[in-house]
This record gives sequence, structure tokens and C-alpha cells, in this order.
Amino acid sequence: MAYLFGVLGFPDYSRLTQLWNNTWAPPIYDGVATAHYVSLGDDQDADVESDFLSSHLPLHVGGFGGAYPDGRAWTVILQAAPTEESASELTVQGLLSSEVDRALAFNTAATLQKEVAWTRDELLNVYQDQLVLPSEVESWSMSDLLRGLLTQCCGLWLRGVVRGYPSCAFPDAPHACEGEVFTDAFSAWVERRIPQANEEESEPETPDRRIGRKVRKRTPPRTNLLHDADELFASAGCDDETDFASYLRDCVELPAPLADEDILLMEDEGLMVCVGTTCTSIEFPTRLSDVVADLQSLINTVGEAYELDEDED
Amino acid sequence: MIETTAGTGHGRLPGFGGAALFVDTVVAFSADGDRSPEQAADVALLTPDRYVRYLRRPISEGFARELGHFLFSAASEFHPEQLPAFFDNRAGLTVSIMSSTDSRVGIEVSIIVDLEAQVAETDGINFETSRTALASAGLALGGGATDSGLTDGV
Repeated sequence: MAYLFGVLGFPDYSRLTQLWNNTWAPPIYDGVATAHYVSLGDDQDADVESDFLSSHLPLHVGGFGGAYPDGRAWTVILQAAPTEESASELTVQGLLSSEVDRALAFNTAATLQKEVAWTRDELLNVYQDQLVLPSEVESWSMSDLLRGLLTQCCGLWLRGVVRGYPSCAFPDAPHACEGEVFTDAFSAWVERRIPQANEEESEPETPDRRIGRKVRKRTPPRTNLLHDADELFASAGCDDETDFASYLRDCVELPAPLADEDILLMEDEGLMVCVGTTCTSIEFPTRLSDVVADLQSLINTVGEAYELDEDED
Repeated sequence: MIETTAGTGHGRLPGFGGAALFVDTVVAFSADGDRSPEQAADVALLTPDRYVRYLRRPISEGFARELGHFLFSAASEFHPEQLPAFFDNRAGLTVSIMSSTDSRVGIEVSIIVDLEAQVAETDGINFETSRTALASAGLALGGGATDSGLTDGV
């Protein structure tokens, strides 16, 4: 379970329906971070109310919202503020809380359920509990540390996000990268395209399954829609289908029963990519990353079929 | 005669970006104090850096119900920007719909600052909100789809 879900204590069967990131929030390195969990009134729209509430909080970093099992909405606002000599941690926490109280005065149907506050050291300890060494995130601002916890709510593995920081949330999976780790993570969640590779990471594979797995050497670049085979080859920096087949082999992971030569590209009747005798046609327009993702999906299917055959034998 | 409505007479229309329109119907004496109490409305405009309340605005008969109907219609119409603007002459309040999508509606609120002034100066805000928030605010004010029997303010 994501750390924030656990610490805020939502009722069972609550659903996450929205999530946002305030990219304009100033980076705070030393200070106090808070999470305020608010239940909204009957018939209130979580989308509008969350935006309304957070718009009155100048230091808000991001947040997420959802619905209880009875349909009533809730929202969580994350904030970070700096401490200075004149303002201790307790004072700053009190200021952040009073900002929320003032904003809630404009929505009397909403009620504050819980408030959690962290210092920088406490946030680093949270990361350590999630198997991330403090040294790996010591350069992160507190705002980014909060955003990292937010990516956990999207179902991402925190270690993967830390490894991809600052440019990519899915360093091991072919995807249309946004070029910024948190934008990459949140847009993948909004568009329901959390890459498969990251889901696998969230449940580490057993050593047996890793044996014989080829280490992927390339990640396809983000490209626009490609309209024919020539554009597709060019986007991968390849001259022809032989080059492109080789490129594809470098982009995918192959389980033990399969070998590089099992991946073929056929251009007889349209463009087809094959794994052994199983083929899938490439429909244009497409993206390079989609082609790689389709191929990986095909490889996984064929690989599982091999494993089933072996089990039956 | 003091107006009653099927709604609460208290409307809160929040918008994206922290803007909101608040309308609360109240029973108030006029400023000179020599008339019987009458229905009035407190109207407030809010943005993240400004909060202005216009207190005890005199209102026309059926003000809350009409405003509620207007907001509810704006939530349910396919092209709410084609609706005629809501205007209450006594309160000096105008609410109009500027734009819409499947889920959002752009709204503009303007109010005459001083009802007694020779040259009317207006204050106002415009913001986007959701159709859900519009419907909730409309129902709270006593508006609703009368032909579907949802509610009908008196």
C-alpha cells in the first residue's frame, strides 16, 4: 500500500479518482511538509472543490482526491513551507494549518479529517522505510519528496521513480516519456498507461524468472505519429527492415526460451513483426514506443505459452 | 409577503482557480428602518486574493428560485452559453454563461456596486466551474428541472 494511503487512514473501499501536481510550487529544501485530508460535503464535486481549496493555498505542492464507498468525495492537499530562524517548525506547521482552515471557511460543508506533518529528516526516514536510501534522495527538495510519495499512490514503485529522477519515471520500460519524472508518472496514471515493466518491479521477480532474461539496451525515443514504414525506420535511426529488426531486438526483454533470431520483421504483406511463428501487423499511424510495447507484449504471450508447454511436458 | 423557496436560499457556486459566488437570501430591514422587513440577499464574490460581500441587496420576487433555475439550466443545457443572462434589476446582479464543454461551464458574474449611484459602476468575476457544481448550487437555491418534477421553488 502507498505510504500516504496508510498514514492518512482512509475507510475501506475508498477509491482514488484524481491526482494533481502543482509544478509552480517553489522548491522547499528545509522546512515542514504537511498533508491535510478533507472530507467534502454531500453532492460536492471533488474536481472543482479540490481545485478551489488548493487555489487558496499558495504553497500547495499537489494532492489527490477520491470517493468513499457511499460516493461522497474526499481530497488530500500536500503543502511544503520553509523554516527560518524566526519561524520554528511548529510555527510553520501552524501557519500551514491555518491556511487550510481559512480556505475551508469558504466551504463549510467540508471537514478536516486528519493532518500529518513531516520535517525533512522525517520524510527521508519515510523513504528509508520504502527501501530508498536517504543518500539517493538527499538532493531532492521536500516538494519533490512529497511528489515522490504521490507517485506511489499511482501504483508506481518508489525505487523505480528514484532511479529515473529527474527525467523519467519508467527508465526500464518503453513508453512515451514526458521528460520529467513526476509529469511522466502522473500523466501515465491519468492516461491509464502505467508501463508493464514498472508493475513487474512493484512485485520483484523471483530469481528463477530472471535467469536467462536479456538485459534491454535501448529505450525508444519519444516520437510523433509515424505514417509509414520509412518514417518508422528513420525514427529509430535505421536504414531498412534488417536494421530495424536489430533495433527492436535491443529494445525488448527476452525470456529464456526465446532468442534474438526469433524476432523477425516481414514486409511481404504490410509490415509485420513476428516472434517465432506468431506475428502481429503494424498498423499506421503509430509511434515507435507503441511498436516496441506491442512486440514486448507478443514476446510475453509467446514466452508464457512456452512455459506452459514445458510445465505440461 | 416573505418569499419561501423549495431550496435553502443559500447558494454557493465554487469554481476552478479558487473563485466562487455566494448568494444567501436573508430577511432584512431597510437601511432607513421605517419599512417592514423584506427579502434581501447577501452576495459575495471570491477569488484567491479578494473577497467582497454586498449585504442586504433588495431582490425581486422569486429571486432565489429564478437564479436556481438559471444555474440548473446552465448545468443541463447542451449549449448553456445560448441561455439569456440572469438579471435581477433590484439587486443589480447579472449572471451569464460565456462558454461550455461537456463537463465545464464558463460563467461571468457582475454586480452594480452602488445601486443609488447616477453612473453605475460594476464589480465582477468570471470563472470556470463544473456542471455538477452548477446543478448543486441551482438545487440549493430552489431551482431545478420543473418538467421532470425534480423541484419547484415557490
